Amino acid sequence: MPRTEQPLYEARAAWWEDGIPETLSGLTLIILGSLGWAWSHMEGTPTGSLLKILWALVLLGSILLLKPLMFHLKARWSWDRTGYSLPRRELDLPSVLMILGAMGSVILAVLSLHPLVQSTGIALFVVLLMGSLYRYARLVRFLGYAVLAGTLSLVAGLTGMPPAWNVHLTLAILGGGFLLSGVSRLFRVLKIREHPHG
Amino acid sequence: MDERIIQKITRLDRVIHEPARLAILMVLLGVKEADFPFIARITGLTRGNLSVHLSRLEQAGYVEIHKTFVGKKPRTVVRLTDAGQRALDRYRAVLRSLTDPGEG
Repeated sequence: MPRTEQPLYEARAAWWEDGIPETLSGLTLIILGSLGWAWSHMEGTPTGSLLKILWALVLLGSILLLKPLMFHLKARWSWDRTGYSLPRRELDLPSVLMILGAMGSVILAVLSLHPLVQSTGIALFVVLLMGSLYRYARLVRFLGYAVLAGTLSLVAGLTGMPPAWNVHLTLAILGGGFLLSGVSRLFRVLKIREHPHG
Repeated sequence: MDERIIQKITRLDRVIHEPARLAILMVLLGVKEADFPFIARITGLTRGNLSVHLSRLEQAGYVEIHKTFVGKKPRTVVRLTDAGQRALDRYRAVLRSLTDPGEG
């Protein structure tokens, strides 16, 4: 029933239309990727240890603060223009399997000693995670992110890039894609006139 | 036409079997809750039209309408009820069985 399902996917996709989730996730990924990249270059030095702690703090901070910050910015900039909605978090079985597969790929990449398995694991992680987002809201750009980051990760692995660099480079490039898309969407939403109240 | 198909069609829920109300319920199926402007934008309904259809859905017990605040601003927030969810599931199952002879 593709036509009757359309409003369902539009309602789900609306969460991403103001660009705020992508902008914040993009910034976080770029910071994590850059810090991780620098840390993996300076492993074993005092600066490297400091960067490792900073990386963990940024990760923890993003887990704790990203959601409240996203809601705050949406309330301030977005909901008066696009209308207010809260997404439902129910996932179907294929999406749950994709997320579990993504987690399994990371574990495979971390545990394996073979560079090609490591880079394939990283690529699979990104592809499955983005694929589950695509399944949820049918947003084609998430497939684009999956192809971009997955290809990059595989190419990096094939050229012999160390897995630690590969992970951080993939994260940073993915973050860059998120940020560009998010900011352009945010500017478009900010041009919409506010309505008095819902 | 096959008699069974006619029976299935007559079993369709008439509250839901109206394009605007079906669209509203499908929007609400995708979210925990949403306000009037959001539903109006996604469905393409005018506010007046939306208001009429939401009242009908509320009478049937398929949606809940609350006046609330998001931040400091007042909002009329709409949610799909459990009864609405069940009715929509039944409706979609009947539709699926009509389009897919293998089901139902």
